[in-house]
Amino acid sequence: MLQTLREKFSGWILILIVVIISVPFALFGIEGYFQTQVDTYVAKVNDAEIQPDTLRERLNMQRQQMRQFMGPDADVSFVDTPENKRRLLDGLVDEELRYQDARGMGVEVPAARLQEEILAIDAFKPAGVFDPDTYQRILQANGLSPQGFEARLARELVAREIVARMGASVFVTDAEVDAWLRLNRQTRSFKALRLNAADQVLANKPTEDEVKAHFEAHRDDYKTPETVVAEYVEVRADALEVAAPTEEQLLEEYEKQSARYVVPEQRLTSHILVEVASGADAEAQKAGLAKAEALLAEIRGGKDFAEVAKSGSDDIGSKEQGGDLGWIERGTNDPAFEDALFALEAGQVSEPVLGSNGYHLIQLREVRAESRRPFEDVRDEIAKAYDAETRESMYLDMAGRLVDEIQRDPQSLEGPASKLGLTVQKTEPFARTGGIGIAANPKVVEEAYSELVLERGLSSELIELGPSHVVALRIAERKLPEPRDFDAVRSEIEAKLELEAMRKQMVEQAKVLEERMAAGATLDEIATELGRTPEVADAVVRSAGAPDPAIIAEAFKLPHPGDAPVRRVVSLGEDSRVLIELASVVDGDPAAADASARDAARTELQGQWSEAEARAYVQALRKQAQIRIAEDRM
Amino acid sequence: MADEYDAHEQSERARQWLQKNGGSIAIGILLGLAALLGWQRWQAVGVNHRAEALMKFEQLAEASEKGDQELVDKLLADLRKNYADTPHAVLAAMKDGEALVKAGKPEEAAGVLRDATADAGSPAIAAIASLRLARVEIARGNAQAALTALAAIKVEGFTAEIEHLRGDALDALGRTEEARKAYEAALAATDVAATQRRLIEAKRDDLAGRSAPASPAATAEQG
Repeated sequence: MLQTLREKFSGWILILIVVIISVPFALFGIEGYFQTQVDTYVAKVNDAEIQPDTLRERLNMQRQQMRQFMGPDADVSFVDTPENKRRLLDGLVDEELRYQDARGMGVEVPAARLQEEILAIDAFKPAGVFDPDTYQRILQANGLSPQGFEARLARELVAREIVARMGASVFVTDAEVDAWLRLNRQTRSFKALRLNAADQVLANKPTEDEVKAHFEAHRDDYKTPETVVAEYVEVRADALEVAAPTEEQLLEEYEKQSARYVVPEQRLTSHILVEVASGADAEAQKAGLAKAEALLAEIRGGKDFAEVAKSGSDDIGSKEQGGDLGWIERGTNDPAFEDALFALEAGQVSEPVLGSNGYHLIQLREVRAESRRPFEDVRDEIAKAYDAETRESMYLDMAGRLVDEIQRDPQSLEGPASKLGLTVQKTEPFARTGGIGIAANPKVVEEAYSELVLERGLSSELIELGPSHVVALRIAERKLPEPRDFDAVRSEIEAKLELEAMRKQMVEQAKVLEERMAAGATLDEIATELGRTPEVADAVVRSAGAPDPAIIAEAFKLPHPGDAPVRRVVSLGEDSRVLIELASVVDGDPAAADASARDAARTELQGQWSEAEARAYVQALRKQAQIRIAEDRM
Repeated sequence: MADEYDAHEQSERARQWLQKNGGSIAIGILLGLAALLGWQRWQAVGVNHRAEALMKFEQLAEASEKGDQELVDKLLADLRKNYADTPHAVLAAMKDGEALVKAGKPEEAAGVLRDATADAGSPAIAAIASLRLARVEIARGNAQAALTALAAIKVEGFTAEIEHLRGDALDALGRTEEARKAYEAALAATDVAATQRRLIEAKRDDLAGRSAPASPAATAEQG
């Protein structure tokens, strides 16, 4: 055949065919060169990426805070809603924008400022003073190194710098305070008469025929709601049966984690720093050394170390405490400093030691030898951790197997459940508005009424109801909406038609009264005719609580009356109208306000302006930046 | 034998080559090292310079709280002159503006803020300075100057604040209808959660049917 081909197609036709065939081969795999990099960010702000981990960390923090405030069983499902995630992500983007902006303008936070900030954090001051041990422990508990923590804090300080400084210089002018007082202390005197739909007396109730006609025309509106009964299997860590660990297992665990139960050697240390800037010349170095030696001579001559530190140390963080640095472990300080410290005997003072920021004189006051907590002390702790860990891994295993089994057999829950030794439970019938038990959870309702589960009858994915707690469900029974009998809905329809008629009548009455007021009738005249008494507001301010604040709000929207009072009819929603007769408006008198009232107004306005400025500022940064949000990775 | 000879010849050649080029190589290495160190040093100087600006600003803020205007002026001049390349120069000017307003010197405050709009270094900071300038001008009874300051804001994102203050200025000039429109525009651009919303609504509502504008004369007195 090839022979024939070659004979028939010769010359340029053959070449053309070869070229056409070769194109897809030549291009095969070429897209790999253009998509080598897989994007992972949830948001990209100019060139900086915000990774899903960062967002997850914030979500966790929020979850923890909610549990802290509202108890461990608080419903935190709100945290995972797309709206909330988006809000937190927007916050992260704003923070990144502020950071980039401040950095771009050259904001630099000095090390001393960073140190002050750390020293001021309450969590590190168990007894009112900064405690290095607590500092280390808290960082460790949060999985942070001191360097990592300091870098993060420095970043925050940079990001805060501009907006916080701007906020601290917001002023309020006297004229603004005056205008505020004129408005907020403005009083209005008016009378009001409220018309409610519910108070209307109907001449004719809806007739049987009308009710029936309405029913015939709107049959679809009067159906029973659709409901389903779901069957489900539940896996939760705290309901699993876990065998108690044996003594041997606990001992083994204790040995494995010995590092956690050993407190390394600690040394109670004081120091005196003679600062020498890094990169200083030999002259300055020598001067520093000479000063350090002089101080050492004073101490050797019998002067108290703490006294000398107070007067001579350059370390602002410690000098007031007589150079006290607290208990120090290995691996947390400048290596040269540490080597010297750990070579000392208790009570000794070192020769000058050159560290990264100058010469140190180190005093070792006391040594606390390495200590180990005995097994008996930590046995319960280990048993508890062991139990939690076993539970968690069993739970993960079960949940994983449940997913596998459901994938293998998506048409039934009995099969997967019996393989895992779980029981299938059933809910009460519930509608799209939710129900009781697990159906109270919106995620469960959403899943039950999803196309896959409701229409195609498959088992759902795992739905997370809480920490280490999932269910999978399937529809057991479905009840479609059914038309109801006329007798069952008659009273419902009657009430509806009546309300509509009353509303209509109220609107008509309001219109007639409005025309009469426009023609000069006073509110008192109208009230008398109706046999009612108007509500009287005598010189009320806009924030007053009586009469009804909704009416006051409307009265404050009316035009200022000139010679004649202003009479209007205002809507308060479809169920009521209110007739208002505004007699007078008197502006607040700034001169009558005392100093504390002026201060309150000033504080309020200052808060408003700093908020508005900060918001606009970030808004402006947003407009200038290139921000990309990856919703699918949120 | 041949190999040894080759080795000898090679080392001889290498020696000659080194003799010829060694000098320039050494100079090259030295130059490279010098450039590296210089760069690091220069970086360090920049970092220190900017950190100094922050420290001086903090001193200024403190002096301003204490009301030590002399020290404030000295530090402000220093920051303006020597640290104009850092944001703390304009932040200091803003702080000074606040102090002058508090001290009842709106005219000087307006001058400081006007300078700040010019050398803010960032359009967004310039915009904030313009807002503040406009507020001082309104307080001084210079509503027209306030409108000019607001019109000078070129950066996006400040619509709500600009329109709010335009409303104030136009109201002061007796241009009630335009003021109402400005407040409307401000409300349309204001975040629903903003605490300033109610104030703007109250200002807008209060314009309706006012017989006379919120007398500009009275405002001028207060400023």
